[in-house]
Amino acid sequence: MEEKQISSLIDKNIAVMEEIYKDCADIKKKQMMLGKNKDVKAYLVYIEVTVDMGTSSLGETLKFLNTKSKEEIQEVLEKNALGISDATFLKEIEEAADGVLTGDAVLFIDGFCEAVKIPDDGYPSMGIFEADSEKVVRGSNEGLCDSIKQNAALIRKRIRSPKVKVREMQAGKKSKTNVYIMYMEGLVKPELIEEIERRLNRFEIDGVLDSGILEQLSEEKWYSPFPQFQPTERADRAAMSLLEGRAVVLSDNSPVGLILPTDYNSFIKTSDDYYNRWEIASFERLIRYVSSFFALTLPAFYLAITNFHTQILPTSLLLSFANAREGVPFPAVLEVLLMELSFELLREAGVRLPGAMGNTIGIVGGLIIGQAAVDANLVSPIVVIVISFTALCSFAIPNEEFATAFRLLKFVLIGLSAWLGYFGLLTGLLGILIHLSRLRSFGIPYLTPFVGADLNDYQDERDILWRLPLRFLKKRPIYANEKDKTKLKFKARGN
Amino acid sequence: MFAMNDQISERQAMRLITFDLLGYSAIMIPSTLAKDAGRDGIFGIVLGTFGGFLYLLLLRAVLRKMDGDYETYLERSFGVFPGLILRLFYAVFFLFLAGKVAAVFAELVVKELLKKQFRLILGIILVLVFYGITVGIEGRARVYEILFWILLLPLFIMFLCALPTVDADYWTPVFTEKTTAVLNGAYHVFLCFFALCLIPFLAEFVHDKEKLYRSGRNALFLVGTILFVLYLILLGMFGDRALSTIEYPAVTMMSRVQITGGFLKRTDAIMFGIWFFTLFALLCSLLFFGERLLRGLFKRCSRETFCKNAGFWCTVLVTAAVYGLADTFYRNESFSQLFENFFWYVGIPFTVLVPCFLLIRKKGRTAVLLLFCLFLNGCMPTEVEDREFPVALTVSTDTEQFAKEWLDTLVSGNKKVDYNHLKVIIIERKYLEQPEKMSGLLTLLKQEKSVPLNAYVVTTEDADALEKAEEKLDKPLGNYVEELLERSDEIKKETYPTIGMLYQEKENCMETLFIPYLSLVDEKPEVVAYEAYKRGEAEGLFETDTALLSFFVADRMKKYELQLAVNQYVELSNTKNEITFAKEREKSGRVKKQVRVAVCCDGKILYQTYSENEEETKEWLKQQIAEYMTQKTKAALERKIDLTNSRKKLGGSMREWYDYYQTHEKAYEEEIEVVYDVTINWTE
Repeated sequence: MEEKQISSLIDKNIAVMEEIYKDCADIKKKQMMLGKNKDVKAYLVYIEVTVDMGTSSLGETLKFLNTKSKEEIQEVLEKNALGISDATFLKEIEEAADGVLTGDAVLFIDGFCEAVKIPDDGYPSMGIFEADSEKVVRGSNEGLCDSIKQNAALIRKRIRSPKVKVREMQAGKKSKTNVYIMYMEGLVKPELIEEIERRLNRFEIDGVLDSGILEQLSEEKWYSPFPQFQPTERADRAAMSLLEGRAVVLSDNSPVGLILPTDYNSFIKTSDDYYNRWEIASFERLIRYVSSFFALTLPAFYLAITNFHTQILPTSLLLSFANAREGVPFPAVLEVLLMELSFELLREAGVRLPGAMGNTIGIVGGLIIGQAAVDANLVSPIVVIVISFTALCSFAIPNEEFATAFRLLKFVLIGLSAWLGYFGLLTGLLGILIHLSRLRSFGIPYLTPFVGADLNDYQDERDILWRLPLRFLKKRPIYANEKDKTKLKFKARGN
Repeated sequence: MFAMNDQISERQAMRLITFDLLGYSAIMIPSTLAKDAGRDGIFGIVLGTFGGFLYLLLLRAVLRKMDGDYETYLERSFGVFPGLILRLFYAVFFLFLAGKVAAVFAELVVKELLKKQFRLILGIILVLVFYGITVGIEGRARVYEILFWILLLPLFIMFLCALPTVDADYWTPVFTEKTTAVLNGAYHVFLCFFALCLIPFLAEFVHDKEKLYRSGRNALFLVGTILFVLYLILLGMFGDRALSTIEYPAVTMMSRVQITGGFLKRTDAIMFGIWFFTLFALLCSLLFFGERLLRGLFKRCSRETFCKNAGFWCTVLVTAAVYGLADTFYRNESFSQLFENFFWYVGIPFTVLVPCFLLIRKKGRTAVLLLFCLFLNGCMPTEVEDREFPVALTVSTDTEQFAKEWLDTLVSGNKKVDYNHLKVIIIERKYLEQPEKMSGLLTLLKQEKSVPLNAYVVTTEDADALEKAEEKLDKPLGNYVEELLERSDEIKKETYPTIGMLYQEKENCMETLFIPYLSLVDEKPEVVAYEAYKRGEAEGLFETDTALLSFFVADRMKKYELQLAVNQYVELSNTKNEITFAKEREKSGRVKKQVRVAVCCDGKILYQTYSENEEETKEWLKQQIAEYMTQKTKAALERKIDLTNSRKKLGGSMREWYDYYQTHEKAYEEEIEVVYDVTINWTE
């Protein structure tokens, strides 16, 4: 027990720290003499790139200590009068060792039984870029970055309220990744924060290198293709969620924040749904709902109609379908599957290749190979149209992770339709609907507010398939604390 | 947070009960009711719904006295042992009902969508139901809450689209059936509302019992209204006699409805979704409560702690039992009949009596089932390019020969023949003139569901000649004839008889259909005359003018051009004709039955010789028109054809005559006289 405590004898501390960071070439361990008489032995430990010895707080601290005598240094340390706001005094060796790993410098001074953790530049990160996904036409495009602290600051920049709270915890037994739970006090339901902490603490894993790992380990229904956390790369989206009474989980080294709880409707919404006028916002949202349905069902519906229920289509259209298929060597289902898989291959290749080459893949794959496949009678033109339209629909779904669920389930429906026609399609859709009906995200039914709208006095129905004008959206959604539901009120008539 | 508390809201309860009530009743009621009470079936729906409401009031009284769940309440009220027996009865009854509903559901899919593999379909349905049950009542209620408007809106749109095909004359007369027949029909309607008996069991899932009653009441009235409208549409579309012979008229109706714009040819397959989801809802509810009751009973009787997965295995067993029952219902007619009798005389009365006695006394679950698929084979579709889509069908041989040829041509070369896009059926006159052959043909075509009911029927002297003429046409014969009929500037397209109309008329025996008679003019088919078809019999060829007059009287002409004399041409349009009936005493004292046709239309003089007095000319033309119509009608009556089709109107206007001619059908055309009263608004 005693060995864990930082000793007032600096040589003892040096020995322990040298042992801990043996064979760690990136960690600098410097012994130095401080004080105006250079008679106070000190020991500084830091990661090379995280500390700037020039004009940073560490540099200033060292300069300051060099102006004091041995007694004065002792007094300054005891009274916490280093003149820097966020210096932390650590009593245990383990804390000091972990402190170094957070990107701060740790200073041991002879005769003082605590170590001083002094923040400096910290770890290098990419900086703030435009969000890659969830693009909007109107509104900020500031995206979250790899640094958890910068991400928290980006959110706080948008909500300058002391009510924005950040709970810090660590995840990953070995990675010791910083995780922030951000919420707005008073708006969030207290039990939500407790539940988030409980879920984040219920597993122990070596490393959390991205928020995606947290997401998968905390989900209630791990087997569901539908995400139960809402990933976002947008700072404004995260800030908006806090104002709705939701919580945001940020993980260090991840540019993706997790919003929770979430529901189907939230995945279809975009940030500019609230920045644009209600008419166009409603129209675009309706388009996204329709496209999400087509992204799931269109190839399956095509198979059901052409293989089983030809009576639905007008004769001329059906005959052109039949003519287009003349000479194609594969059954329609195989043709659809081949095209779908080719499309997925193009997509994957486009993502993995560097930027400009990714675009080339689209042109080569989509135009040249597609045309050649039609000319060679490997696929019929109508199937190319169906698959392209389906792909277009899946691109209209604003959230990539959510769209993935539709991409995968589409194959299930294709299989069922090829086997049982329209009955198979209905069966698959009903199965998906039943699955969605039992899915919850931190207690909120996934189909909210299409179901259970009564729980929030039907207020959430104003912002579903359509979005009423902002002046009618006076109440916060179902996630918010019952005690503070009003988000908009007009001060006086005419204002 | 938001606990899974197995509680549903009032709106969810209302939508759940609506789905439970709608599917089975909409599928089963129309044809049963048409058999029981014909046109008076409409009152059967009203009475049946009212009966359902009374039953709900009874349940409301029970709900008010209940504290806790219904099962416990039964035991407390009747005593432990009788209570257990009653619970067992309910459980078994619900499972048999589930079996029956599952059989109807799978049969509907087999007949209307896939045409094979009953056991496979049944297995898939029950796997889905099993999955539905495992999500609990909350999950299912959410599914129906979402689907409510997604299903009801298309249904209402389909009702609107069906309106142009409704002939209101089929609605009258009413009050023709015996009271017992109407009451019988009403009881049938009430029977189809059997899902109401699930309401007491639903009580433990709805926080406020009064709200549960309100949900039930609203659902009942909504479904009652939908059935009322549906029955009126079906009655107007098929007529009561034809309606009574159609197995699933609500589904058949969808195949008759044409969507404006022509982007969908037939919507019956798509609209099938409504019955799919509603029947699924009912099946889930029955199985859910049946399984729950049985599990409760086992727990109650064994008094031992069940294994962790007891609920899952109980659901598996119950679902398997329902599979067996449904298969037996489908394959064993007598077993099915036995259950129907039980349902009629014991089951439903039991569910009514138990709440009554209660009042008196008080006053005083996935993977396992997928194994099913291993025992079953898939359905092999035929690729679209491997199908032949005939658009015209010629009938020239005898029925038996035709049936054989029909079956032979179901596979044409290496392609499967798909009759879904048949546009025209060409029947040779010598075939048309033999009623027994026509009856056989109509029966055969009715059995083959892929033949569209809206395929036009035309006749000709030599069908082979028409087929040969196809080579000289710029499009297939079927398409050519269809365009010939539909692109007329004068006649509305719904005027021409379809195979569905022929079938109906064979049953209803109410009107005369004029079947276009095709002949080759300049090597192209043209309508040169019309064959009158009445009560399932061909009555001979009539010249085009005569048929056009009949169409005009029935308001089925866009415009009607007449040549009254040399160089005298008029055009009549915007017709609003009315037919009334009157008795006229002749000088000889004989009472003549008059059919008065009040013709009211716009008129335009197309060409006339010079006349000084315009008003006189117009008056003269009006008289000429009336005279022309009278003569044509008289000539047709002499051949036993009533161009006005007035007999169809008798039920609503002249009950006494209607009753008389029900038994003296053939005398009608002999005993009536048709008088025209023409009013023309002349336009420039």
